[in-house]
Amino acid sequence: MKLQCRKRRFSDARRRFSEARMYGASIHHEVAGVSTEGSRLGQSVDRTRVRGTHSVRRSHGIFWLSRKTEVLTHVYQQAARHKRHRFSSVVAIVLLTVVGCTSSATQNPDPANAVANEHQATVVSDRLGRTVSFEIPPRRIISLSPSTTELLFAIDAGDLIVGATEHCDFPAAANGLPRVGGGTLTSISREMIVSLEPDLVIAKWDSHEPLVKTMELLEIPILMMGADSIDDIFADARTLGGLTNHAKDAESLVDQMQSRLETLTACVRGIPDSERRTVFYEVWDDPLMTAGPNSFIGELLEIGGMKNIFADAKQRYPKISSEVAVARRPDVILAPSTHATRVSIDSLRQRQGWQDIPAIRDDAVFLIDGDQVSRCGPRVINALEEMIRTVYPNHYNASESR
Amino acid sequence: MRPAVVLVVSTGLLVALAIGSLCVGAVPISLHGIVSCFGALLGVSETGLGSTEHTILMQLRLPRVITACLVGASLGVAGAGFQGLFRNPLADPYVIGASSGAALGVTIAIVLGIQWSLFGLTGNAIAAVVGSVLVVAVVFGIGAVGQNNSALSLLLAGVAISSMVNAIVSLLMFWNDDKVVVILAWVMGSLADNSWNAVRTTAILFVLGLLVLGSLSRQLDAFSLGDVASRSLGLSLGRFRFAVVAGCSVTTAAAVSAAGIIGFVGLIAPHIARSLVGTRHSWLIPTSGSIGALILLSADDVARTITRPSELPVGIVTALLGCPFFLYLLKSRSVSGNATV
Repeated sequence: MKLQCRKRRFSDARRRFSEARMYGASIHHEVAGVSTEGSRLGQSVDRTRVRGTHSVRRSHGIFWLSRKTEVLTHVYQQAARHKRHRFSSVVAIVLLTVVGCTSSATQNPDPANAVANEHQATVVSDRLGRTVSFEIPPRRIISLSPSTTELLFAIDAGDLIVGATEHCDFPAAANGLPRVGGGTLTSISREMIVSLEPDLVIAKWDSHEPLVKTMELLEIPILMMGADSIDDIFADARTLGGLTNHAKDAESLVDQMQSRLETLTACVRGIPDSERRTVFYEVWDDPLMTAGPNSFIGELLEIGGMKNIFADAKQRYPKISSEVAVARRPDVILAPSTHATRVSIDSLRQRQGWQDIPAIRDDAVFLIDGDQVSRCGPRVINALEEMIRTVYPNHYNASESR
Repeated sequence: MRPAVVLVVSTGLLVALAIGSLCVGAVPISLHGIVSCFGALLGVSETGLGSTEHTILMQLRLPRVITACLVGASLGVAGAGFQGLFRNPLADPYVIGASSGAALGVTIAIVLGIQWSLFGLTGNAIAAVVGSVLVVAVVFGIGAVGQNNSALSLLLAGVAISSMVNAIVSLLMFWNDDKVVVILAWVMGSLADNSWNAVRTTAILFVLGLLVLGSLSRQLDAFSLGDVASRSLGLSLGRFRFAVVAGCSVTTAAAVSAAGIIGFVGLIAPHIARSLVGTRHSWLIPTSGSIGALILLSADDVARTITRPSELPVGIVTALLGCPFFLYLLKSRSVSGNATV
């Protein structure tokens, strides 16, 4: 069966990269405007295959709607519910099985058709609550954040990436990828993105938001993702796994992370409350910033059995006053190793009034690998392990030897 | 040099630079390809470009180059208008709160997550225009109350209200730390995300402002003689000030809605123009426009090529490159202009 999409804003569709978007676009409309779509969907449309064969194929058929509509409505409602749930990540994936349509198959005897039929159209609801439609599996992905790049490699889908940012340096294979700019919105070259002919761009949901409009005009599907918790990482891994035909790899990644997480949780579970150490996590030194409980770093501290001295902060990464940090007398100070000027016990001693903080008196200032702790990707478990090892060495070693 | 010659030469340079700008970027496109592509549009020849190059040229680079010209021209024209109105060489398009108003509008739009659009303008662009016009209106309402030196009280009211509005923007950014990156990107100014719709809107606003200010050029000349002299020449000062502020605000809004806040161009373009064509506003205003466009277009070319494949915020480039050039002019030709004091 061919999904038919109506001919909309089509004047220069010849120029577009792939049929996938047009193809998928119809599904978006079915989802968003179910009630009115029935009559329109009987139309047929020219589809241009640019990448690959460059041949124009014509397909005719009727999209038989009513049952699909129910399914889609249900999914859309689900997506809308999740949209309300702010921290739930990419969830609703609909795989519309592309059922072979005999009549159109006889009209299209060319072998390229078989390839097309392997493709499936999909609707994904992203972190901004948008529904994005495209054909899966994508073959040319551009990743605009290091954590997404790491995640794609971790589920063995790294070979699909054709472009990344200058900060995407892990694993080593990512270093060879063409760069489309730095991580920030202004430094990303839109021209570079287009020239790499992606069929999916994955961007950060909060900092890359204005890219959505541009990519939609260019008819390049863009997914706004980005995890803010370990559960988000699992959800993102599963979403990407489903999209890239690496669902099994994604599941095994999630299983592996979960079992490590359980081991680490078990290792700090037995620590009595009196022995739990208060921790100040210094995200940045000037201005002084820490991680609140809503951030994934806050989550790591909590899982690691540490008492975040700023557990009362509302913001994810609040700027805080030095006075409060001193007054709350942390037992331990943690900081990422990627600061412009590295935090050290000496530099902290120089700070006015910090000499009497227990952490400084006891030399309990530790650096955590910045690339692991500052990217909410598959390696956060390493960061968690590092944190537990440095803050509770005895418990960590005890559980290791067990 | 005769003013007409200067205007024609600078406009010619602008066209040449614009065509050159179409060739450079992340993906180089040959001049021949561009000519054939435009030929294809006119139905004269076959396009010699691949589909990717065609998309880059028609959907990204051409609108960007045109927006850069329009934004630069808007800033130059608005700068000339404000410097004339305040008889102050330090005035720029943002002096009476247009930029901070726009920043406030955009910050509110981003914080509320406004997604709707109107006439192809995004919510952010509309919020920028509404914010800047509202703040300028408030400043004008307060500043126009003073009886004696109205231009000065306007300037002071502008400075005061700008500080307050900036504080509100900072407060909103502090409360919504997850949106800070997007707000900052906008405040730093960028021409990256402009479509043909933005080109159209910017062009309409720019032409509107240019017509208003152009029709006021004789009054601006008279006004440069001072309040008393210009009033004795028959100028109705209240109505005149309102018209200039309205014209400049519309022009500034054109720039702000398309590119965020880009400093310096609106300050130096009128000075350079004044050193070339003199102080008569009928020449000064259009020349400021074409010089502003030249400055911003070359700055944007640098911004999107020098750190290829990354890009720089264009505001950084205008200040970094424009400032030494301006200082050189200041030293060698005493640019500041005699009509301004």
